[in-house]
Amino acid sequence: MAYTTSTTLLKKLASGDEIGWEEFYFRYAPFIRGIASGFRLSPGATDELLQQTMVKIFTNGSVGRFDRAKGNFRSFLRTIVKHKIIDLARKKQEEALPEEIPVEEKFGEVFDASYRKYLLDMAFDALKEEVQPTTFEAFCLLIRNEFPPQKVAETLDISIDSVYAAKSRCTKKITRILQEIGENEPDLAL
Amino acid sequence: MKILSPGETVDSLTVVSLIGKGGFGEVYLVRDVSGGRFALKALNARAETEISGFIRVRDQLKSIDGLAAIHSAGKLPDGRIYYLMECADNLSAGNEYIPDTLANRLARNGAMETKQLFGIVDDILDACEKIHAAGYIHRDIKPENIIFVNGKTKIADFGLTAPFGDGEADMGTSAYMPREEVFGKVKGGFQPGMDLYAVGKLLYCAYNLRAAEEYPAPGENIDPASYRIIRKIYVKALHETPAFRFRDAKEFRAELRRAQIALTKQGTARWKSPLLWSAALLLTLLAMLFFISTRSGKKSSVSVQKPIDAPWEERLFTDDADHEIYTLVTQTSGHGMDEYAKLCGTIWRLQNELDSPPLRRDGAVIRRELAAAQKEMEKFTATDRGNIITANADLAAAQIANEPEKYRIRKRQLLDAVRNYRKTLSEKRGQ
Repeated sequence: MAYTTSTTLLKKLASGDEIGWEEFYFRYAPFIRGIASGFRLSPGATDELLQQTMVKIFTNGSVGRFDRAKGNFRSFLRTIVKHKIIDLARKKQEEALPEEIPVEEKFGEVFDASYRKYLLDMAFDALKEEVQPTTFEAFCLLIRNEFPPQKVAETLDISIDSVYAAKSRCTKKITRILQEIGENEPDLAL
Repeated sequence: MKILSPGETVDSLTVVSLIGKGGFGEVYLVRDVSGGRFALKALNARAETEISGFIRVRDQLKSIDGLAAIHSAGKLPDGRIYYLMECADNLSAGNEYIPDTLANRLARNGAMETKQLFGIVDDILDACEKIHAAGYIHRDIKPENIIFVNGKTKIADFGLTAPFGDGEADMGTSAYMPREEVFGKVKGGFQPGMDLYAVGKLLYCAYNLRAAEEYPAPGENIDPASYRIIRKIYVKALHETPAFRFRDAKEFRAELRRAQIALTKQGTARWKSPLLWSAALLLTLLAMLFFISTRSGKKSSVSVQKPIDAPWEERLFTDDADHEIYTLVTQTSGHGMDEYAKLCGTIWRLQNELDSPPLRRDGAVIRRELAAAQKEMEKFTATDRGNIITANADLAAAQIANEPEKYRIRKRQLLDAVRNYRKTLSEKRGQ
C-alpha cells in the first residue's frame, strides 16, 4: 500500500521531520474527531480536543518518550486522548455547563469504535485504488449505506449479478487489505 | 513578506482581519474610508502570474454578473502586488467574519436542500457559459471559490483564468481536474470542459458531503431515490472518457432542470408541510366565513353549500345532520383555530429560518425551538378539538390539491372527528 506506516511516521517525528508532523496530523485528526463525535462534543470542543492532543504529542518530546516495549502506539494515543477528554469534562463541570461527558464509562467503547471506523476508512481508501469506480460505489452502497442488493442495482443501473460480483470482489480485496494493515502496522492492531 | 495586522492601512484601506492564507499569499478583510467592505488578496512573488488572470477578468469579463467583481490593484508596503475584490457575505451571526462560501456553508450547515443546491450549481454554470462564450475558462472552480454576495452566487479567484488553448494544465486543484489534465499536457491546451468537470465534482461534494478525493464514495445519509437521480448528473460530468461528458454548460444546465423535475415528480423534493397547512388553514377560514355568512341561523331542510373553488361539484354538507355537525365544527374550532394558526406559523417560520442560510441565530437554538413547537403541535392534535381542526385543514388541503378521492376520505375523517367529539361531550354531560 502506498502510504507511510505508523512505524516509519513515528521515526520521522522522533527525528523532527516537519513533513512527518503534517502527515501525522492528517493521518490521525479524523480518528480523534471520530472520538469527539462519539462523545457528542461541540465543534469548538472537538477542535480543542484535537489541538490539545496534537500539542501533547508534538511537544515535551512525547513521541520520543513512546517506548514500543511498553505497548503499541494505539495504546499510547489512547492514554493521551483519554486524559485530554477528562480535562475537557472537568472544564465543562467547572463552567457549570449542563452536559456531562461520561468519560470513564464510555471511553473504551468510543475509542475502539472510532479506531475500527478509522481502519475501515483507510481500507476503503486503499480499495478505491484497486477497483473500477462503479464496483467501489456498489460496495459502499451495500456495506456502508446498507442498501439492499436490488436497490443498489436500480440505483446504479446495473444488473443484480454485477452487484453480487462487486460484493464478492471487494470483500476479498478489503479482507486482504485489512490483513496487510495488520501485518504492516502492528501498532494499529486491535 | 509581511503579514498585515488589523488596523494597518494600505492605500486608504484599513485591514480588519486576515481571512485566509496559502501558498499564493493571503486574503484580508479590509474597509475603505466610507466603511465599505472588500477582500484584499495579497500575492506572493511566485503567484504574481495570477495578476494576468486578474487583468483578464477586469478587462474582458467585467460585465459577467456571476463573477466576483474586481475593483482595483496596487502594491503593499513590502512590494507585493494585491488586488481588491467584492467581499463575500458574513456567515457568522457575531462579530467574527466568516466568508459566506459554499465550502463554509457545507461545513457549518451540512447538506442543503436539493433545490437550493441545484440553484447554486445552475448559477455557476450560467457564469461558466458566459465566461466560455468570451473565450476563457476559469480553471479553479471548487466550493472554496464560490462566494455569496448579497445572497447571489458568484465565482471568485481568477488567478488561473486563461483563454482557450493556452499553456499546460499544470496548475489548479488536482482533485477537481480530469485525469487527462492532471497527468499530462492536454492536446489543444485548456478547454471549457475543465470547468464543467470541476462543477460536476463540486456537485458530488456538496450533495454527498464528501471531499473531492473521495469520489465516487456515496454520502452517509443519502436518500436512495434522489441519489439515483442526482448521481447520474455528476457521473456524466465526471466520466473517464471526455467524449461522454457534458459538451457545454447549456447541456449540463438542461440536465439539472430535468433532474429537478424528476425529483419533484417523485415527491422527493421536501414539501414544507407547515406552509401547506397555512395555505389549507387560510382556505378553511375562507370556506368557514363563506358558510357563516350564508347561514340564515335557522336549520334549513337542505343545506347545499358548494365549497369555494370545488371543481368537481363536491358538496361539503348535504343535510341537516351534516349542517349541525358543521356548526359544531365552526363553534369548536373558534379560538382553537387561532392557536393552530399560531403553531403552524411558528413551525413554518423556524423551518424556513433553518433552510435559509446564512443563519442569523445559533442553529442549535433554532432547532430546539422547532422541536418544542412540533411537540406543542403533537399535543394539540392529540385532543378532540385539535383533531377536528387538523382534519378540517386536511380537507381543505385535498381541495387545494384537487384530489377528489382524498377529499372524500378527509371529509369522512372530519365527520368522524366531530362525531367523536359530540360523543365525548354527551358523555361528560351525562356524568
